[in-house]
Amino acid sequence: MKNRHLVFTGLVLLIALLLPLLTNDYIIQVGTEIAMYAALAAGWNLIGGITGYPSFGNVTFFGLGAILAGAFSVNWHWQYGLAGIVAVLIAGAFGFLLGLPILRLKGHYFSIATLALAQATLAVVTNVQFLGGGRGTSLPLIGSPLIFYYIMFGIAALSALVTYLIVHSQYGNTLLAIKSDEQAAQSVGINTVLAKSTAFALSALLGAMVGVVYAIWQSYIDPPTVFEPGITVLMLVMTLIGGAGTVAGPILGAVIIGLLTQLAMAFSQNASSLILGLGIIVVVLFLPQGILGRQRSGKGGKRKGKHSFSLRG
Amino acid sequence: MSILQIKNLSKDFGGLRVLENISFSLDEGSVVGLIGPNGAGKSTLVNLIGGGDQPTRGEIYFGSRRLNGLPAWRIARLGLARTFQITRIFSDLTLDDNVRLAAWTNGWRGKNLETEVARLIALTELSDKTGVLGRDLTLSDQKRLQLARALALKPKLLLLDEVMAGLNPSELDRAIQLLAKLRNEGITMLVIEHLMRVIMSISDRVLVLHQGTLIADGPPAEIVASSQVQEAYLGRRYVKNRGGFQPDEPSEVKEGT
Repeated sequence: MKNRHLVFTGLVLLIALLLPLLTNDYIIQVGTEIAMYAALAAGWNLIGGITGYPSFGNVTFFGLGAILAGAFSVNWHWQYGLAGIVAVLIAGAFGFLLGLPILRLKGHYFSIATLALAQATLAVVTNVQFLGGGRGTSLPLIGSPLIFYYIMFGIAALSALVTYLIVHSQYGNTLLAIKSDEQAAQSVGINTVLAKSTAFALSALLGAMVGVVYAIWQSYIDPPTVFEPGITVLMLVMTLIGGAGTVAGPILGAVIIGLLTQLAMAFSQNASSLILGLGIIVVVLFLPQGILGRQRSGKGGKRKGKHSFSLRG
Repeated sequence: MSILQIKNLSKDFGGLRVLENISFSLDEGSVVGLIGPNGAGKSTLVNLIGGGDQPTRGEIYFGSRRLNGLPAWRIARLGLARTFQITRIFSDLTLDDNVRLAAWTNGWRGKNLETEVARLIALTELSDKTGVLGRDLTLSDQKRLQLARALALKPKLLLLDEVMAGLNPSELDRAIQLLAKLRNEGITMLVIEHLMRVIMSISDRVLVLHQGTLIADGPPAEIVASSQVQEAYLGRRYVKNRGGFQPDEPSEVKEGT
């Protein structure tokens, strides 16, 4: 099993690294986007998939990363790297501190609260001049598209690595325990509030990292674009299609949705939404645990032993 | 020396008083049975002690530590472990990961962790179920798993909420032996059980809850002889066939309050 994983991972890495040598700018652009969403989905998976708290507001951290890095570099003339690091740390702290109250809510209540969080953050950012206000922020054009491809790819790989390390640790088991039964988790001494908030913070850190790179890649950012709720929906859908709680699921989901979207766009702009919608319906009906997720086999399930291919990556 | 002290404990759910002015203490190393009809407030009492819920009035002391207001996880780390009447296991984790996580959370590491996990799984007779996901375990295995998981906390006090329900007679005998063994290790236990055979064979003392109040507290023989307890819980049939397995009250797994 382990060897198969290694070969698979190696193959993905090889294709991703060599892809730019064989193709044109358009493919690189699509590849960058897929890597970006793979990283975002992997970040979402930490809180939504592994911990079982379906966040509808993870775009908040993506947006904060982009907006803060832009504001620091434009208004305070910080080097973009430094601005990015500070932005990521702030977004991570924001995630942790907000997680403390918000993660007391469960299920739909949590989802609605996170949705509101994203909208509230957008409203604040839009009204603060320092953060670009309603106008948005222009950043200098730097580097070639290829650099951003590799950076986004690096963040996606980092996200997968973080997920892998978590699901193979007792911390990962702690999060799975919380997902199974929070009261039971507390009864064995698990500080569930701390564990959940840490997962939310990690999710925020990864999201913000992507946001920071997105801002400089696009060289222009405005709040409505980077706080677009549809971005969270994509993270969620990709994770669910690939397999929530798995290491490779979010990445596979991002690749599938990314490629399907591009194919559909070749026919018409609207076709991509149609395909996305149909894809969700198919997955919900036939693969409720996602492609790599452990499918429950009939009543109670007969599966014994370690998890199938997916759960532990 | 008392390890647990309950002082004038009351619990209201909205306008409904579920526990009324309960006071008792548990001596270190003792095994105390807690009986009473369904809805008497037994599980609520365990829930309050374990920090799953907060009392409306009254105080709970574990040793010299006041437990009121402490979150459940902190109480667990103090060495007060519990099981749940309706089993609560980590369904996405394997049986051994369930126990391992509890032991790891409470400070076991490396080789000691693995040795302890194996010991607890063997102790609760679950060795042939290692690797099985929590969700795929039978109810009786889940009950044993809950016990193994609670023991991973190296508890000083164990609150057992109907761990024996659903066991067959031979399993029951082994479970009783297991509790006796735990008692010999010095673990204090508060045991909720409908099976009078269990209560009679392992308890030093029995508490009887009825409609939220403590109506009797004494040695098992005295409790069985008490007409008030017979009236409220045991029923007359039990007294006639002394040594019968359970009181008239049905003992199916129901969410007690």
